[in-house]
Amino acid sequence: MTAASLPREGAAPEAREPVAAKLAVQLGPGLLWLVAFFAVPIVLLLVYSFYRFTDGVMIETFTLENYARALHDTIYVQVFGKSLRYGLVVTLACLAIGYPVAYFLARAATRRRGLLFLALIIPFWTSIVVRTYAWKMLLGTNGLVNYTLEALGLIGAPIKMLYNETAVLVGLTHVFLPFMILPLYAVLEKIDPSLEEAAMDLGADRARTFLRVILPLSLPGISTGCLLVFILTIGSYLTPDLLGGPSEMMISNLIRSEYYVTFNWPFGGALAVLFLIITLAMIVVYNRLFKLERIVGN
Amino acid sequence: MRGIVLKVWAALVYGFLFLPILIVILMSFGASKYSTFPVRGFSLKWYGRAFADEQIVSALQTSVTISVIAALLATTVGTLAAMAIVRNRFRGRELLHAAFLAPLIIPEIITGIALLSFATLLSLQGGIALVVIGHVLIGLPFVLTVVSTRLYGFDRSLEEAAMDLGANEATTFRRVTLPLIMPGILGGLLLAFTVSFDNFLITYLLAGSEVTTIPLQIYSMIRFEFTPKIHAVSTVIVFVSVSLILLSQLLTRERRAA
Amino acid sequence: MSDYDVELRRVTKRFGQVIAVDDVSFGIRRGEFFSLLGPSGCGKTTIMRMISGFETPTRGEVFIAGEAMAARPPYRRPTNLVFQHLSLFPHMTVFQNIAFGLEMKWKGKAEIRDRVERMFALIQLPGFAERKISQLSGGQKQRIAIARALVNEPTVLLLDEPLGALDLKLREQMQLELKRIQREVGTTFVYVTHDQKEAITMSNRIAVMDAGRVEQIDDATTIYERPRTPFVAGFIGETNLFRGRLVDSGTVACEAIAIRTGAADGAGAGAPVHVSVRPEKVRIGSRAEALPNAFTGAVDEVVYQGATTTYRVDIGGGLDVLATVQNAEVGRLYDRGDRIAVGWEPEAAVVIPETAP
Repeated sequence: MTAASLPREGAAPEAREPVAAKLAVQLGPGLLWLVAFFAVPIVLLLVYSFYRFTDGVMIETFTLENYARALHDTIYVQVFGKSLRYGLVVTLACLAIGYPVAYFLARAATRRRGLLFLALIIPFWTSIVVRTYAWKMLLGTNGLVNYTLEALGLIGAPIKMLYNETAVLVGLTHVFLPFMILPLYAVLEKIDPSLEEAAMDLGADRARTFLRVILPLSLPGISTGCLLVFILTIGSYLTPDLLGGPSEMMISNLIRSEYYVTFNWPFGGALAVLFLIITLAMIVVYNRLFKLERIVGN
Repeated sequence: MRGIVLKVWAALVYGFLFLPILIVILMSFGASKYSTFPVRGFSLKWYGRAFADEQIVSALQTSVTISVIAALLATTVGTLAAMAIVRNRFRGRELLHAAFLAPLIIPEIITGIALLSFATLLSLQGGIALVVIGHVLIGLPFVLTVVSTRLYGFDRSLEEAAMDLGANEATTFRRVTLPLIMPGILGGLLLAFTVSFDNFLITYLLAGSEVTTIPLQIYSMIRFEFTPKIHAVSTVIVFVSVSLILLSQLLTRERRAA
Repeated sequence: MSDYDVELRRVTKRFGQVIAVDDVSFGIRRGEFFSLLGPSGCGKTTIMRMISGFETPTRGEVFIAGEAMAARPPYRRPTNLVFQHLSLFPHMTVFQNIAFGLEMKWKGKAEIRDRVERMFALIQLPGFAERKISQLSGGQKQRIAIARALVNEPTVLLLDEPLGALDLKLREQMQLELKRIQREVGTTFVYVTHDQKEAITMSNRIAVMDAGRVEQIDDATTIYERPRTPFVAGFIGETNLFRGRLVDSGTVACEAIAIRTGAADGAGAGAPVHVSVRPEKVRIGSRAEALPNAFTGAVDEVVYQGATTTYRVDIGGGLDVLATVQNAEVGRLYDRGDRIAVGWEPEAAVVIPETAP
């Protein structure tokens, strides 16, 4: 066996100049699917957003009134603002809560680490419907929290904890926490532990080692996690719907309502386009600062 | 000392993450019709009632059908695309890779209503086909990622050896490449299935009035018929999803390069 | 004691059931280039980590410059470590890496700049300050890692098998570099390695370790010429090792043969001993015949090494002798199967008593 045929683990496979036909066969279906069912529909959405909506019917005349309404009417501005605010709060909460967990996981003994990691992906892969309605069990007037508080004698009558902002934020944090922990863990795990030892050897105590070595090196993980959680949060539908009630409308609830209740597709489309622009803006900013390939690491 | 604080924190967070799920499982075994605390009595009757419920059974069938189809499609399309992207150099390769990942990062509401609008334009109704299309869109990124990872670590000299021994491209792919990346493909398949099975929003937007999947059924029951049947069904699908994912993890466990 | 920069007193380290370091005591003098040499798992790395503070002894004490270290963490010890894989901070420039330790001590900008510049001169890499770590070659990274540690003027510099990743030529260059640097700064160097050639080349004294215990501490020549245990004899360089009984001072009976040896200290008549004979001290052919220890045998193996050739000769009774000869002196090459004479002077045969003194 010559040296050339020994397995080269991890070596990048030789990239070749593509044979056009082969490439077409391999990429064709995927590309077609994306274009037909993703790109074109979104363009259509954009087109619709410029149409009129009069007397319950969509009319194909060009107008900017949908955008004007979306950007001026306080209700809609408020919904966007609230969603963005929730996005920020949940992202920061997930970061603060999740970072120590990710670090703990990354530094855990190998055998335990595997188990803990598997344990983490269980909530990650449980349907959002189940995870969200479960909070009704916890926060409801007959829920676990109230029951425990009453049993401990801390309160006399049950507190109303559902159908308000807090319930939604708690629910969102719960749902998206794994989306913060996993990218953080992926990056922290790759940091060579001997770098921490080197810093300590050079005189840095634990706090300074963290600030000067670990934190900077974990920045890609932090940014990926934050991007994911933020975008997912501002786009959430089910959690505000189940835990927030009618007073807690977020962007997705609003858009859905316009589409399925009012049937005002142009306006709904405009809202969706604005939402899309916000999302794309965030991604562009992220891409400027960090390579987009990092997201693939999951 | 610091280690203990970290451990306690991690335990609390894990508790926070698991508590809701555990509550649901707990309540599925309760005897009472009301989902209150404390949970009294132990009973399996809600499981029985849940699976005697026609709507639930029908939703389960629909879910499985849709998810199997979507998973197969996503895996086929995704594997081919992964082969193209990993093994070729061409302009716009990075961009294309990102494009495939887009449905993951673009909010579901947008994907959903866009697809619905497009379908309506073509005079198609919401229904199984539309849901499958949507599920394939969000399943593709997972398959692509998993299979690409497998391909990146693949030793090309094995294929060269096969060709040196007389196998043509197609045979080499069938007899050497495919078997070796099969764990990755299967892992991706299971991921795509689970993503489809558990999905709510896109399904909700595209299903129309005729089609109900399990998540949709649970949602409907939460709002209109809140009985512990919900907990029973939820517990079952949690176990199903988790088992599939653990299986997928086993299959896609990469040999760590030293 | 005051001129010991590092002292270990009855240091033992246990990991669960495993005893990694077993009751070790020794002192390292100020300004020494001291090597801890031994195979993997002998405990040398554990000792190094106990000196630098990453492990604490289960029993015994570690002193640095006369002070007991007890459980002091690494950032409060007057030691610095050059890590095995260098562990340079990838997100900092070369300058920032080297300056790190000084920053931790809250030194002023001017002083930092000054000291770091002097380091660049010492390691002979001027102008590298703003480079990123990823842009450096193996040898350059090596020197940066040393600079990062030395700039803090530690009492003791520990080096953990630092040259392992380099190719042979580079390694030999770096060995000379390290010696030069040590001579210039005069700091006590504690060098951990499994490569005995390296240890012999660079060290003032070597501690040879095996299975958690120190077998022998001496300068390179003594270790080589006068190994005190069979392990040391076998680990350092090549050797012919015979087992036998001491007949009297000067003769050892080994099964089929009797070997005339040098003086044997610490062993009485009848005691079981080893005899070590270095292959380069074994003569062959006509030059061997007249020696006090002379045997004939068939050549089993020939290994041509350019300037030298090593022959394995079967002298019967299940005994093999390795002879390494200068090709220029011998003038010819023998083949497998040739019968030749092998022999050595009594002084070349070192007696190693079974239980080391």
